[in-house]
Amino acid sequence: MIDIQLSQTEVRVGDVLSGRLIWTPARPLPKQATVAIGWRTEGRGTVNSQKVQELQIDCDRFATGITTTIPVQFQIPTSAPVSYDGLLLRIIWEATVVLAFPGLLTRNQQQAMLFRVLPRSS
Amino acid sequence: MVQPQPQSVAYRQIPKLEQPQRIAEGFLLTDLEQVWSWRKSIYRSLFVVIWNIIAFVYLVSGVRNVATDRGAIITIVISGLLALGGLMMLAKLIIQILLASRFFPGELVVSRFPLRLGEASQVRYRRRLRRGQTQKPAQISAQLVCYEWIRCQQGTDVQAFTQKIWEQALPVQAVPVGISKLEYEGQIQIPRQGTPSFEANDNCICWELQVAVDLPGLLIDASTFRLRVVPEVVA
Repeated sequence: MIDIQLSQTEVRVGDVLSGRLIWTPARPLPKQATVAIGWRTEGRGTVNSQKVQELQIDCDRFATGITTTIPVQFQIPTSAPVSYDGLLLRIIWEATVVLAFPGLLTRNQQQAMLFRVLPRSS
Repeated sequence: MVQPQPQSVAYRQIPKLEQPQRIAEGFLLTDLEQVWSWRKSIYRSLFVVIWNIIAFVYLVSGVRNVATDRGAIITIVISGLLALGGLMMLAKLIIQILLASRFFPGELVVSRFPLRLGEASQVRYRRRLRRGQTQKPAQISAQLVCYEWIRCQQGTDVQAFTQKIWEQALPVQAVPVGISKLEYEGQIQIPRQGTPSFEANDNCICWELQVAVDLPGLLIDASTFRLRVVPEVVA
């Protein structure tokens, strides 16, 4: 199972969120690997979501049986919504890594890590 | 502790946040709901007239047949309710037309736009009479509100709900007689711990300045202005 670790659990809009992916792959190697950050709503309303930034990971960096650590960084836009826990709705931020494997019967692997986005100080 | 109940609202679309016009005094916002539009008014009038014609045709036919057909009572009840709704829509339409014929749309000038968390801003509301002057003293009150708005599918119906999460009542101001422009001045303060504006298709956090004008015999109306609060806290 791939692991995503964030260096901070709270980040301000306009700041950089950094983290790393750690994985020891078994066969087969993924054909595509992406890591993304985005927000989604929860609560009484219809769910809305937006992928804010997505990075492609070079799958050639993985080798079977060898633990690989890949650092990742994301810039949180200054106009991005902040995390919110209200009465009718919540805004939740998460970083997600998805590994897509070749073959019809192989399931994709996905791992998510929640973090909070706060307003910045001027 | 009693949890406040969300309020079901009739509007399915949240009013779009308009970009204000930059003027010398600050930023000018106009209540677009009060801007007269011939096309919109004709569509609304046609809708209300057709609604009422259909409702009253069924109501009259139900009343005529009730002596011979007991089932006509159901027709009378349903068409009566539709006719009542139609009359209410008609009354609202007439009030809107009267207001539009007597007043220009409400305008708001804010000293800063967008606003930041913890920031104060001067606000100046104005609404001009199309002709004549005020004959009786009036009152203008205003409040800054922040509310959540959500839209959801319930069965085959789309419903919208709001929940007020913060409000600041501004002082009530009296308007003297003999003026051709209603004016109100005040100061709003966005709380530091507040939440910034958020706008998605079905989920919103809205900041609004609601200005209510009570001009006896002439106008009881409210102007609403959407404000944008950015995710930045003033130092």
